[in-house]
Amino acid sequence: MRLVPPPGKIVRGDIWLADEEGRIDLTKVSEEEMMKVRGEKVSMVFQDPMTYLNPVMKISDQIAEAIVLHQQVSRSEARTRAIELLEKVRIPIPSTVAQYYPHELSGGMRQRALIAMAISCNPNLLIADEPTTALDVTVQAQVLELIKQLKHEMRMALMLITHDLGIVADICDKVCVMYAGRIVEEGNVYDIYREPAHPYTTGLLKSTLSIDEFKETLVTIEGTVPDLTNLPSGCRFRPRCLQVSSRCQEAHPPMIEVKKGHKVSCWLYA
Amino acid sequence: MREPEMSNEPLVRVQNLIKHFPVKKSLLTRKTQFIRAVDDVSLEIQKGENVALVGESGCGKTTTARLILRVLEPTSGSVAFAGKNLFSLTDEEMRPIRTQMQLVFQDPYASLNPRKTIRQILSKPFVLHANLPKEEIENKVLHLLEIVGLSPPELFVDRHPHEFSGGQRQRICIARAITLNPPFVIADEPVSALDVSVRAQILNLLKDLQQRLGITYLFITHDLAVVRSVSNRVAVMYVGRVVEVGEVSDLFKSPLHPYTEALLSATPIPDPERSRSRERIILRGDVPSPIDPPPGCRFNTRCPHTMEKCKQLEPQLAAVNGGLVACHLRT
Repeated sequence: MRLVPPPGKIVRGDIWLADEEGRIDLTKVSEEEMMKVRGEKVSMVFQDPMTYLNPVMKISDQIAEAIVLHQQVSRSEARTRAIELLEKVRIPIPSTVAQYYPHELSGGMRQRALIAMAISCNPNLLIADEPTTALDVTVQAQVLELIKQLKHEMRMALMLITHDLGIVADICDKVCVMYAGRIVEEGNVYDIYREPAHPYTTGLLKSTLSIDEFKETLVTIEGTVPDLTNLPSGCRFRPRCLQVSSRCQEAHPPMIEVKKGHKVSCWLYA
Repeated sequence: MREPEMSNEPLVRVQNLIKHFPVKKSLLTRKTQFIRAVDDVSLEIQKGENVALVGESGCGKTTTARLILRVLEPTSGSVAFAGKNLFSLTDEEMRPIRTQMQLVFQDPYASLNPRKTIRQILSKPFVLHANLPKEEIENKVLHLLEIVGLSPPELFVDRHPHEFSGGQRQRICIARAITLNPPFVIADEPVSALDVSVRAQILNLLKDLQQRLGITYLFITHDLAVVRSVSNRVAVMYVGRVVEVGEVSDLFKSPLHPYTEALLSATPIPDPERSRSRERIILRGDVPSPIDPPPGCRFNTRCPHTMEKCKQLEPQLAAVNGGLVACHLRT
């Protein structure tokens, strides 16, 4: 989204976004073009909906604002469109709810309103950053089901950012595991859960609790996440790793393909 | 109350507990409405047990805990602790009992005084409640830190809370709770504010203390996966009422109340095969407001099995298959 605030900046690398018109490198486009990309091609849903909704604006106006900005339509038409979108995100009595202010909605409804805004311009990619972390579990199930259905209906790609391995297992196809700023393992969801390759992924899965399994002693990953200003040399997981060897200290392990589409960055496989 | 037989008397017995908070709904009508935070809750906790109290936010879990500790006075109902009815005691009579019931809070960043050292924080209960010489208090404080896994204790004891990580702070909060060897500890969402990788460490510590010191827990949480591995029995709350109580192994295998069933079904399972092959129950709507709960069964607005009876008659807890459930489907 290129929304990292200064002094943060992209030092290296590129971000390719492909659609029907070809592909562009988002790190190279101007800020003006980027504003068109945001909302139209890529949009985002955040963890805490109240922070991202304007508290003194009606729900319909907030959604309409995004539509007017990106599409050549009148304000009144945009409002009608906003009500349709509220219906699309399964909000009951959308024409009434459209007239509400954010504080009049429950947490789940706010998140639905935010999703309505995010999908208002038919994006190709929806980034959902911990979309249900602030919600109760029965409401979380509703919102996840909605995201799943919308992804299918609107043929969007979904990038789900979460720490909840249960949600990943339920809705994702592909998984990237990050540790201290780097992707340490990626692969198809079944491979990752069945045959995790990186010791961090293995530890994470072992320490996760489930409602259908009793664990007498809970497995822990010893130590804490390293300070990003003072990273260990070589592999960043080295200080906490149970299978550490001398090589791990010397250099960062390369990404190695252990199976088709299943890659891991660990010296155990090099 | 007559002197109970210690063997079958539960450590904590909550009976028909009700707490209504008044709210002014509107300036014009002047009618006072009530948040029915806890509405007729009964629960028994046996010695040595870990009982989980689960439910979604606003269902009255924490209010129940505060009533049990008598931090709040109830609208009606009773709490008996080791056979004594707490609400009939004077403040003076309450004082020794307070040392026997302790609380661990959710947010370890907010529950330690930032201006005090760990030594000061952990010595305070001894100073207030036990007449001990200074050296003995010193030894006890160091021993406590060792018990909760902060060793060597000399390294930690003169620091301030801000020098510790979240997990370490929660260990200090636990140490503070167990200073006076309380038989009963309420842990209110003790791991919700912690990083995933640290949670298991704190849960192991709580389990370990249950065994080593024989502590009885009321474990308040919204996370059923934690309950499965930590608790012995579980009570499920919905909008101020307990709807089901049972042994963890029974209740997770065959829940009796449709709400418990939905709650379990909504909890993600961290395994793609098991997660995708099971049938999911997605409830409609939101949790109703405790100001104006629906008539009859409070779950009737979201329940997939609502009958006519459910809209009129509030079901009461009744024994079914070794557990307790409040549902017209089962009784």
